[in-house]
This record gives sequence, C-alpha cells and structure tokens, in this order.
Amino acid sequence: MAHQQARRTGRVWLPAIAFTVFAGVVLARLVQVQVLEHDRYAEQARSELYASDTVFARRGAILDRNGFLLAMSTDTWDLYVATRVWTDDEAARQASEAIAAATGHDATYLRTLVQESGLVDVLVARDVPYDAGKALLDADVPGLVGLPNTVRVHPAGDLASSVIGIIGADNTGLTGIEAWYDTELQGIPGRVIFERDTTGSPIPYGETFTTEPIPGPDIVLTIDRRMQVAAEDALQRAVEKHEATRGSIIIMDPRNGDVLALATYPRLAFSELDLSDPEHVRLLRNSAVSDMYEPGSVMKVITTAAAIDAGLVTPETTYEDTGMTFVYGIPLYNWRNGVYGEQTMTGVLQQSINTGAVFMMEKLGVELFHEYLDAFGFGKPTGLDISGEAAGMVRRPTDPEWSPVDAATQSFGQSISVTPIQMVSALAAAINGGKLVEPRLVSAMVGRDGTRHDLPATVTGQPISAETSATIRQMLADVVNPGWYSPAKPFHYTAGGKSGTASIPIEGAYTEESQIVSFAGFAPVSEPRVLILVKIDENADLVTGTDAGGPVFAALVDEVLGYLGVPPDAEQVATR
Amino acid sequence: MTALEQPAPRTRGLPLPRLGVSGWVIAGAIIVSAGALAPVVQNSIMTTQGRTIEVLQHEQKALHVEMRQLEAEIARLTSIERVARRAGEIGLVPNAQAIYVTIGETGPEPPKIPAEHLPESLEPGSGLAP
Repeated sequence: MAHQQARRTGRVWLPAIAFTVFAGVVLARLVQVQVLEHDRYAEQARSELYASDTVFARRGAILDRNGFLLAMSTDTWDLYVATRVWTDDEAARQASEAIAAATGHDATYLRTLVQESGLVDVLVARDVPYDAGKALLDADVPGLVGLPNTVRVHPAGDLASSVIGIIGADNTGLTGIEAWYDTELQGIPGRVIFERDTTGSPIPYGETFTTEPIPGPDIVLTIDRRMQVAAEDALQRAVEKHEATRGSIIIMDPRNGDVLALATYPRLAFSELDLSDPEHVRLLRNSAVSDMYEPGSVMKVITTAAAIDAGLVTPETTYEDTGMTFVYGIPLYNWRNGVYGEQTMTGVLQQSINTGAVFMMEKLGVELFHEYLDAFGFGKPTGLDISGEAAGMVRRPTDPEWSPVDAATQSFGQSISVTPIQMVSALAAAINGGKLVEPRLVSAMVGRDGTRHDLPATVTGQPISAETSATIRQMLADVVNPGWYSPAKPFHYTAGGKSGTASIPIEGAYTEESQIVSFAGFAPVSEPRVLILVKIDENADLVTGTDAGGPVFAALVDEVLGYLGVPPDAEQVATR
Repeated sequence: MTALEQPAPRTRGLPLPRLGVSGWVIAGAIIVSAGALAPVVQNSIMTTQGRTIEVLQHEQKALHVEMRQLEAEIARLTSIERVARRAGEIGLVPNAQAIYVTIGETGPEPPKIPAEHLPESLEPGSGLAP
C-alpha cells in the first residue's frame, strides 16, 4: 500500500515566527518594566499603596518669668459630617440632635448647613472640647467624623493679652509673641506613612512608618504676672480717672532690658475678640511698641545727658531764663509761659524749662545733638522681640521738611516722634551706667525634655559714660525730691524721674486742648531695679504729666519693689 | 520423644500498614507545613501586638490630654484674678499700707519652682528666678 507523504510546506513557520515575535515583545516589555524602569514602577506602586499625612506638633506654651502659664494649647475636635449619610432624614435628625446637645448648636441649623452644602464633608463645629467630642465619636453618631485639633487657652484670662497676641484658625501666630516666635512655638511637624485601601483610608494594622513631630518649646517671658496685674490695674484706674482715651505702662529692669510688665488700655479681650469689628482689630496692635508720640519734656533727660556727657555743662551750670528764647528769629516759650530767672541745669529739669533745653542743645550743636539721639536709639526700632514695632521719627537737616527750629524743639520733645518702648530704652541707658540694652520680652525657651535655653541680654551701645549716667540719676532724683511736694515721690523708696506733657499736633498745629502726658522714672536711686513709664493719652482734665502720671509711678514703685523684696530706702524703717 | 519446650512466641502488635513513605518525606512535609504556617502565626502575633500597641497609644494619648487639661485647670485656679476673687469672698482685703520691718534673721524658704523654669545658673528649688 502506498504511503502518502505530506507535502513539504513553509507555512508552519508562520505561527512559530509569530509566537517568537510575540514572546520577544513580551520579554522586551518585561525587561523594560522590571529592569530598565524598575525604580519608576516600584515608586508608582508604592505611591498607590502608601499614603502620607502631616502630623502637626504641639504648639509650645507661653509662661511668665516665674513659670506661670499665660497661654497653652489644649486638645479639641473639629467635627465634620459626611453629607451623603445625612440624605436619610431620620438619620440626619438623630445625628443633628446628638451633635446639637453636645456643642450647643441648633439641630435644625446643622441639618440645613449639611444638606444645603455641596461638599462631601461639612465642618459643623470647630474646637469642641475633647471630652465632649470623644463622647460623640464613641457614640457612633451617623456621618460624624472627628479630626483632632488644639485650641489656645489663656488660664490667666486677658492678662498681658497685647503682649501674647493671638493665633489663627490654622494655629499660626498672627500678633504679639505668638507671631514673633511662631516658628519656634510651632515645633517641627512629623509625618506618618501608611498602607491605604482603595478608598484611601488606612488599612487597619497595615504597615505604618511614623516620624514623630517635635513639639515647640515653651517660651518664658520676661513679664512678671504680678507686676503685669499691678500695671494693668493702675493704668485702667488712671485712664478712667483722667477721662483719657487710652494709655500704656511699661516696667523694665534697666540693668538688662527685661520688660517686667507692658500694659496697654484699652486692652484686647481674648474671649470677646471679633475680627469683623475695626475697634477690636485696632486692639491687636500693641500701642506701647507700635504707636508714636511726641514725648514732651521727658526728652529733656536725653538732652541733658548729651550735654553733660559732651562736657559742655554740669548740673550746676547756670543760665538766665526769661521765659522765651529766639531760634532763627522764631520765639520758643516755656510751658504755660513760665519765667524762672537764673537756673542751674538741675533746675531746668526740676522746673521743666524749655529754654534751658534749648540752651543745652545750642551748646551741643545740631550735628552732635543728632549723634547723641542716634546713639540713644531714636529713629530706629529697639529690637524688641514682638511684631509691629515702629521706628519712630527724627527729623534731620537732610529731610525736605526740616526747619532750623526743629533741633531746638526736639530738645524738649517736640518735632520728634518716639514709641513708648523706645523712650524707656533710651532712659534705661541714661540711668544704668550708660549702656543701651536691647529691651526684650522673652528670657528663655524650655524644650519638652525640660532643657532650658536662656537668651542672653544684649548691649547694643554706650551712648554716655557711666559717670554721666550717675550724674543724671542724681539730677532726676532731685526732680522727684525737689524740696517741695511732688506727687511722683514714692512712700518707701528713693526715686528719680521726669514728667512730660506734650500737645498733640493736629494738621501741623499744636492745640492745648489735646495732649499726651507721661511720667518716666526709676527706683531706687542708688541701684535702679525698675524703670517705669506711665503714658496717658488725651486726658480730658488736662492735668500735667506730673499730676496724672506721677502718682501712678509712685504707687507702682512701692508695690513693685516691695514685691521684689527690695529693702525700703526712703524712710525710717523699724528695726528689731 | 521429648517435646522441647519452646519459648512462647513474642506477642507482636498489629503490623502497621506500610505506606511506602520514608521518614524523610514525612519530616520534610512537617517542615514545609511549619514553614507555611510560620508567616500566618507571625502575622497573627504581629496583629495582636499591633492591636495592643494601638490600645496603649490611645491610652497614652488620653493621659496626655488629661494631663494638659489638668495643667490648664491648675493654671486657671492659681491665676491672680481668681485668687483675688476668692480672697475677697472670704473677707480678705488688700493691704492699704505696707509696714516694713528689718529683722536680723534669715527669711523663710522661698517657694519651690520646677527645675525647667529656672535659669541654668540656679539650682532647682532655689527660689524665685532673678
């Protein structure tokens, strides 16, 4: 039987070649994916499997100089509602009533808020107290989601509110110390990386990699809460008594620039803050560091210090006061047209004689006088560690508005604008041995591990010699103890100081119907521990700085030095 | 013919059926099974421990929250405003005029202040900060 043999054909190679090509393509793709672009695809896979989130660090607390809490963060919840869950009316009713009972909101309002929102999740309550929020979340209220948050609390109430400042809803500092030290207080945020499911939610017990956040350090202020209370109370009483519009008091340690108290009135009330009210917004500005004013006769201290330091006058140098003096043909008068005859330089300060200040300035000359103003720090910020400090304004011969009379009026505190903190800083240099110390509000930072890092005091210059400073101290002591009644004389302590009464320039002209009065002084005379500036704006009774600020100064010296344990040095003390 | 006493035949248990599988194979199977079970057991232990850690973390968080609430409460209760109000409620009034007396003896110990609030130059409990 004949065997039929298949005819040889080349078609069998077609599928073989096709399969080979296909296998080659697949292989090439595998090499591309798994070898050549391994890193990219591995990264893509990781990014789909893992998600990450920022873990914000706890904001540091703010303490007074003795460790008492002034501001701290406590835990709260921000409550959100998933809108799709509340499409069921009964579930929405039950849930809204439960939330309303815990948060104080109206249930109907909550339902309307959620159901009319086009969002997936709606914020229904912010900063709900931790326990109340946790109880709600544990109760499995339909659609309720809680996100942990913190809220700033102020255990001492509104004390030092203008210094502490406020933070925003995102926990970022907006004003005051909260703003200036925001970076430090915020700490370093951490990060959590977790395995997620298809909805993006973390897989329970899945892999988690966490970089722990580092909490912000606690900040220790130079403010002493006892002195702050004393200053705020005294200021409020003084403003009300003299029917003034506002005021400020600064208490500083002249040795190192520590601001022991800084009070402004009216003051910011944390609990009543309404940022839609312009008056409230205005209170966010710390007027003791941001507002400028003409210091009036307090400036004579600086003029005198400059003239003595330059060797041009001594406390005993005399001149003849006629009640007025001409500068470039323009008459300048004493306060209320007083005429004092022959006077020493000490008498110029005691009687606050404008012509005496002009006498000293003319001896100095404009250039040297301005060099001393610069050395005392006028015309530039002091460097106080708080937001919003103004630089002040010193008109100079190079300025277009300069008038030859300006230097003369600057010598008794007009045609020059300063901030209260600038004035205190300059006066501290005048009485502390001649050192210009940078005022400061923060003395240390304390880490979460308890490590304390003290910030050193900074001396930025030496405008006058120690001898001149000692002379100024004694001259100012003679102002407070002139040999006649002085309302600025403390009961228990020796003190020195100078008052200022400056008319407020309105549209370039001075009017005696509106004034700013102040008194700046220190105590005790031998070794000053405190320097106090009392400033009262637009007092309706138009009394002078001595009469309005002097008694406040005297009372504060007795209270504050007694609190500091400084032995009285101004009266006979019982001994046993 | 004397019958020889023959020892009683040794009793033998029922013969096990021989499966034809060597001990090595059984041992290998056990090892493979154990190896296969190990990740399951390990995963189970990890999950249990993960759960324990999570519970402990929640407890720690709750304790931290409580601690901070207590800190705030203490600060509020010791605020000057509240102390002054309470003093007023029990009939105390501010001293109108202090009388200073100099004595030749050491005063009482100053109040203790926690170490973290003291400057580095001072020892803990050494009194008020300068």
